[in-house]
Parts: sequence; C-alpha cells; structure tokens
Amino acid sequence: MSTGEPVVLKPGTRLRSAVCATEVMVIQAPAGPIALTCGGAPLAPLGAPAPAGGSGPAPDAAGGTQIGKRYVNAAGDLELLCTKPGAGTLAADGAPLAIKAARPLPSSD
Amino acid sequence: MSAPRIHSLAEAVARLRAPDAAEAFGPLGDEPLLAVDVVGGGGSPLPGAADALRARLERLPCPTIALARAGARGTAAKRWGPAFDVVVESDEELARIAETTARTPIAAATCAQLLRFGAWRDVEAGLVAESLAYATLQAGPEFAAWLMNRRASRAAHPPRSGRSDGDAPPLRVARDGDRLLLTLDCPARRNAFSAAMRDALIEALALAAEDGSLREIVLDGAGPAFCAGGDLDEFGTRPDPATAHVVRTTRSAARALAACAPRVVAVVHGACIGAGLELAAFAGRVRARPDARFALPELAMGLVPGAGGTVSLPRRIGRHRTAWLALTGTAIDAATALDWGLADELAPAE
Repeated sequence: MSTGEPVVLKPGTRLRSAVCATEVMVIQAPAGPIALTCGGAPLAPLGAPAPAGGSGPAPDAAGGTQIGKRYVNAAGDLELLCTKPGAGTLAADGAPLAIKAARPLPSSD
Repeated sequence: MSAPRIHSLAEAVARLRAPDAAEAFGPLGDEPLLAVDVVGGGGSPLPGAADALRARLERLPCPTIALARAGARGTAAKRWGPAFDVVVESDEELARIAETTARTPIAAATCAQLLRFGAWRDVEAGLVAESLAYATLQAGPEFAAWLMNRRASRAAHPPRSGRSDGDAPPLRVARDGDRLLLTLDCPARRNAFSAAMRDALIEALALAAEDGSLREIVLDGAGPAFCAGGDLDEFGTRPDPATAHVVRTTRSAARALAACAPRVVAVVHGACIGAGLELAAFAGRVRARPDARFALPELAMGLVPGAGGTVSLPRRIGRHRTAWLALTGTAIDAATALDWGLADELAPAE
C-alpha cells in the first residue's frame, strides 16, 4: 500500500480514486500537506487519465464510500464530500476517514 | 351544521365599519368566517373601494370568502376577489370551508392570516412566518384534541404489521452521470415524511448544492405514493413548540430544496399530500403521473401546512388557491394540478 506524496489541498478541489469509482470534493483541508488515499492507492485529480488495469481496492481498504456522505479525519481539519460512490476506503496519512454524522435533531412535529 | 351566513357587499361594508368589527368574527366571536356574495353587489364601486374593503377584511381573525357563483374569472370576482382570503364559485365549496372552520376555527384563522400578509413572496421570510404559525398551533387546543383522538383510535385499532420498512435508509441516493436521483423509500408507510427522511433529503441536497456539475436532481417516491404527508407516528413527539420552531428553521428540507430548485424535477404519483405536496412544489419542475392527487390536510389536525407549503404553493398557484386547498381540504387530480400550475407537465403512468 502506498500513501503517495503528501500534498497541500485546497477546498473545492475534486479528486478521484485510482482503484474504484469514488470521487470526492475537498470541503475543508488542513494548512499543511496530507496524503489522501482511496482503496489503498493515492487519489488522483479528477481529470487525470485512468490508470491501466485497475486491480480494485486493497483488501484492507475496501470499506466503500457512500454518495453524499462527508468524510473527516480524527483531527477534524479535513472534510471530503463523496460525489460518486465506490468500493474503496478513504484514508488520510494512512488513517481511515470516518463519516461525519449530522447533529441529531428531533422531529419538529 | 347550519349554512354560513352570506353577506352582500353592502352589508359587509356596513358591518366592518365599526372599529370593533373584528370582535364578532373568528374563534372568539359568533361567526367563524365572513362570506360575501361579490356578484350580487350591483352598481359600480367607487375607485379604491376594493382596497378599502381589503384593509378592513385583513383585520378579521377568520377566513374571508368571496362567493362568485358566476365564476372566479368573472368581472366581480376579479374586482373584489383580491380583498378576500379565498374565492369560491359554489355554495358547496363554501360549505366545505365552513365545515373546516367550524371544526378548527383557530387553525383556519391562522392559515388565512399567514397567507394574507404575503411573507411567502420571500422564501426565507415565508418559512419563518409559517414555522411561527405552526408552533403557535402546536401549543393550541385543536391540535391537542386531534392528537388525543388519534392516540385513542390507534389504541383501539393497532396498525397491522408490515407497516414498517425496518431500518432501511429512508432515501435512495444514486448518481447517473450529471443527474442525482433521490427516491423517497419507505413504501410501507407511503413515504411518510419523518425526521430521518428530512435529514437524509437535506444531506443529499447539500451534495447537489456543493456539486455544480450535477445538472439535474430528480426527486421521486418508491411504492404506491410519492409521499402521503408528515409521519403521523411522530406527531406530538417534538420538544416544546418553541424548540420545535427552532428545529424547523435550523434544519429545513424546504429551504434545501428551494436552494437547488432550478435543477430539481419532482416526479410525483399517487398521494402527494401535505408535506409531500409542499416539498414537491418547491421543485423547479413538477411532473405529475396520471394517478397523482394533491391535498393539504393540515387544518383538520388543528395545524397549518408546516413543510413550507404556505410558501411553495402560493408561489406556484397564488394565495387564493393555496387557501382553497387548505380550507376545503379537498384533493385535486393531476389534470387540475396542471391547469393550476401546481404541476408543470403530465408524465406517463409508470
């Protein structure tokens, strides 16, 4: 598994998985460089050519992504919005990202 | 129930001249509504007479109804109608409004007042005004009575099993290229609009708001109905009414839909009732299947529409027809919805 080169991310940047269908948009990013992966392989810019012979996500990074969910790191300074779902697990600097849960609000009826 | 008294224009003008005229009408007065036959008035009115009448009618804490037996598109209805909350063409429609108003006079008055002042012309102002009215009624005796009746009838007749979709997500979200497909997905409950569905819809619409490459957002419903309204099992479960107001204005599916409206296409079928209708009406385009039927049932529950309907409907069909739907509680079919502009086109049957 490779985490690739850490890079400085900008909000609004769109990235895609190199090994599954996942696509994300950067909503919030830390000031410093960070290495983003999906399915165990570094994320690529959305427009980049697809890698040859996709082997799918690594077995230990195949938790899947869900469209519309927001994925955050433990530090709380990274937020990715999943714009297209896929089979891989999103991770930052090797640590899987978690789904950001909305604050629970009761029925207003 | 006795038929409502029908005033002539001259009688109405004379009665409303008194500074305390409002006292005779509404939930605390002797007459639950004011109905005026605007066609039989005779003579040609002075300039500004309709505006003067409107200013007086707006003080009344009850629905004000113009009866135009010659048709709502006739000269008299056009001249006097704007002064009133609703225009009806028949005694039968008037009787339906009288029945609603007799059963839940506070809700009827509140609905009339909410629509007559036009906060709906601005979406955000309209949603706040609606929520305030709704909260007021949540604390009132008419909703309390409805809730007690429902609980008693549920205790006597428990729902059949199979009315639940378990823990399945209440909304299906899929992407097809540059289209986002959102499907309300609690068919066993006819897609009752619950807090969980609200949250899922808002989450999906936040994606649409962020991702400008999504050209179209299609909203439809799985099962026999698009959406049969708010989740009645959740009615009465809110915190206190003031906090419920804050919840509504903090997390609003109506606001989220309005923000993406130009790209949203609602495809509706079967029951499109209450919250289902109110939310669909925010869509930039509404496609109705032939079996679609539309209604606002909230007044009978002692409430006003609370999912944004007093904003989305007037913006599509005007305040008079919105008031007509709410005050009569009558369902309209797809052809009528198309004629009124509540739907933009008919879609083929599924």
